[in-house]
Amino acid sequence: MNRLLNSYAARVFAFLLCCILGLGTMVCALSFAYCRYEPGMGTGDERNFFQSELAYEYAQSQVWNAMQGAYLADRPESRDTNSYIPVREPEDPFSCVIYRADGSVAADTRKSGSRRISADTVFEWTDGYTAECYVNLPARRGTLLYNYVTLYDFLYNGRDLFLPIGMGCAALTLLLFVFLMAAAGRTPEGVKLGGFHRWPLELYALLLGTGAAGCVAALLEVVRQDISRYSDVFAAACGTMILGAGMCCLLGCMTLSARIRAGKWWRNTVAFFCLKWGWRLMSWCGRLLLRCALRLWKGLRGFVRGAGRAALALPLFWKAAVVYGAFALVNIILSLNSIWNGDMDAAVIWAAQQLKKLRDAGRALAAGDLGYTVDTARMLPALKEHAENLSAVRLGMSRAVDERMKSERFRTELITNVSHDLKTPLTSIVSYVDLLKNEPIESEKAREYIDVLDRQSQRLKKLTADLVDASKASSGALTVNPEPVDLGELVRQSAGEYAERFAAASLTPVLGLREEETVVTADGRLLWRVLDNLLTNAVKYSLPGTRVYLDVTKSPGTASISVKNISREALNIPAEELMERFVRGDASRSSEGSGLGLSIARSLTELMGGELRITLDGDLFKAEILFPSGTK
Amino acid sequence: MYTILICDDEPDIRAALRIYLTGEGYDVLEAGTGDRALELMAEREVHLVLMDIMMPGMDGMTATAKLRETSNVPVILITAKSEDNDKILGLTVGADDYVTKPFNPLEVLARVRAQLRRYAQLGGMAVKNTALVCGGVVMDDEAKRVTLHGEEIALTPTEYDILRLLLQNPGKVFSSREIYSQVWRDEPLSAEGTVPVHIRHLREKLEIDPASPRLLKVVWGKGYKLEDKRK
Repeated sequence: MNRLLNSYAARVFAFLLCCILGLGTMVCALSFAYCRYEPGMGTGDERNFFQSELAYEYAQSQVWNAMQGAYLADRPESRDTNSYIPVREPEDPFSCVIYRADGSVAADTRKSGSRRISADTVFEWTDGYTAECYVNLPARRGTLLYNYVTLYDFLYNGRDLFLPIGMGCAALTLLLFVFLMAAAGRTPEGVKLGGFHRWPLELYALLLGTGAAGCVAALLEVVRQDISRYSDVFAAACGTMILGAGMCCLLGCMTLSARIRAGKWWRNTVAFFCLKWGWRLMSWCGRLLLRCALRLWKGLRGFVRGAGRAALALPLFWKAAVVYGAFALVNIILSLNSIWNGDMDAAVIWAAQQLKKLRDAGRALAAGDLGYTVDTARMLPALKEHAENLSAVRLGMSRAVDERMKSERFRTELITNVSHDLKTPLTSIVSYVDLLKNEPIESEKAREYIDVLDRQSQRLKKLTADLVDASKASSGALTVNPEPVDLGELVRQSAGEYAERFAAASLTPVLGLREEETVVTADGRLLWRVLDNLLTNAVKYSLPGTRVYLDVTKSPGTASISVKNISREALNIPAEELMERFVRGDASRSSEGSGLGLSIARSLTELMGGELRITLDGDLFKAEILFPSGTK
Repeated sequence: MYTILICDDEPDIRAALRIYLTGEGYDVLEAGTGDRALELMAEREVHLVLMDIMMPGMDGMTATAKLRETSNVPVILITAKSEDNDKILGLTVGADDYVTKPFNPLEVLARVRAQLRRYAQLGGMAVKNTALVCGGVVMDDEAKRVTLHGEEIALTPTEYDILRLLLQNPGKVFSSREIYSQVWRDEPLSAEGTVPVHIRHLREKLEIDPASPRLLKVVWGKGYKLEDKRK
């Protein structure tokens, strides 16, 4: 059985047989139905073809003309009204007899052997004329009547056979159909689709459908073309057409069966293909769209951000220009001249207000007010940033200042503490050196050494004191009591203090004082210490026999004391450097002094809001203490 | 014979001071702490105290303040702190004078002597009503005599006139010009530069350390004044 199923030849054979048998079944069925229901078949006169509907209709159509012709020949008066009916001789083999109303024969075209068609086939005209139809049998070959009679005879002769034969054919057809269905697509390896089965179902169906439809259409055309020619050719054509249609249908059924058994038949369909690819296309498009949308969104977001950032990064001028341009645009669009002006004025005032805030903050910062904060609420972003920068600067500065103050304080504290700790042993040293000096020591050398100790311990004493002063002065740890000070009086007092020391150094002080008072705001005691340091230097470093000039001068805005003296040694050091700590005019540092004098003097002067200026002109050393002075 | 109490935590300094003071003929007691000094004060008769400020335990300031509750002996503070605030605080709590470390032994001796004289003669010496007095300075204008802690000092006529002007107005600041016009009774045609020189000389005669005067003070940039802080 399997072999049979797998056999290709068997399949072809079965297929053809199935088709033919199917056709046979159909013919049988039709014939059977015709025999069963055709009235002519069931009457007593079993050979009376003319009892059949078929014959009657045909005869009527053929006879009519003949009868009409005869009728009109007899009734020429009605010709006008019926002129549109062509008058023809009735086609062979039909003939007729026409009777007038009174029963007399108007025309008789009968030939020998004519048989009347069905007794009740009497045609009546309105004017009482009647006609009877006759036919001559057997019909001539090739005529339609012949075909009809032959068909009729065939049907009539086989009327009892159609049912069983049709049944048999049907059974066989069914069997073959089942076989074909089972065998379709079958291979020894199982159901495997090949050939047409591989075609997309719809395409194949379309092909088969087209075939079948073509066949049906052709059949219909054949039937329609000439219904009256039931010839052999007609029958063959009809049979072929039906066979073709049946084949197509059968092929369709087979491939369907094969496909269904192969599983997932829907996969190989155009619809599925379209759906699949449509889905893929759609999903791809969707993904693409999604991606595009995402990118677009990102891009848009980036653009907005970028634009925002760019807008923020724009120089203030351009920002203002953009805002101004926007305003102008709005103005042009809305033509709101008055409102526009008001708006711009308000905006300008607003911006100016904020700028003023910034300016105040900057001024406070410049003045050293590190506690000033700018209210950045409701400020324009650009100005706000500026304000924040300002406060950042302020914070940085105050932090730096705090740090510096802290370290300065720490240093001053350290120096003060260290010098305090130095003072105790120094006191012992000074005291015991003094005691040693009072001891009766014979050795000349010992006395000499004691003198060195004495001198150096005194110097150490001065150094520690200066050190404390210097650190205090530079770190601002000294308290300053500003009060009105007369520079002239101060110079007089200082000169008085130094009178003996000048004399001892062979120096002549020359006071250049102003007639009236020269009052500045300063701390007199600190100012004396400044002058003390300057005069100490003058006494220490002046060339003996020269003059020391002490002048008080006043120019608009400033008042100053100047000390001028001639240096004993050439000064090869820049003036600025002289004021550095531990720098002394003589590089050897052999002379006494801490090297802190000028440094202390400068620190103290600056502490009081003044300025110490040192100029060297050859051997002329000039120190100036400048103070801002009032109107007086 | 005076007894002097030295209160200092540094034995070497105590020893050095003892040498100087015994050399001058004083009896010396030593204390290493403020507490010990107060104990000795209670036990012995002491005429003067030299008190160091920075000491472990009770410091010099506190000790001076406690001591003042029971005694009015002169106290001279020895301080390493040269800040003005400390000096003023020291004088406020009851010290009579101060020296700063590193001190000159001779200056200490001079201050001790001055304080002892003042302490011993307080109330003892009759002072004329007409006398001008400030600090330890007494000027008898009728006799044209000036004494400092009872010791007569020699002044030039100009110095005398300047001192009298200042004594008549204690605490008042006189500028060089004012002093010149009042003493010389003349217009100060740039001759007032001599006044500071005279003042300086006067200070050298009145003060133990002219650089840091206790009595005749320099108000820098303004003038001079005579002032007794202790009053």
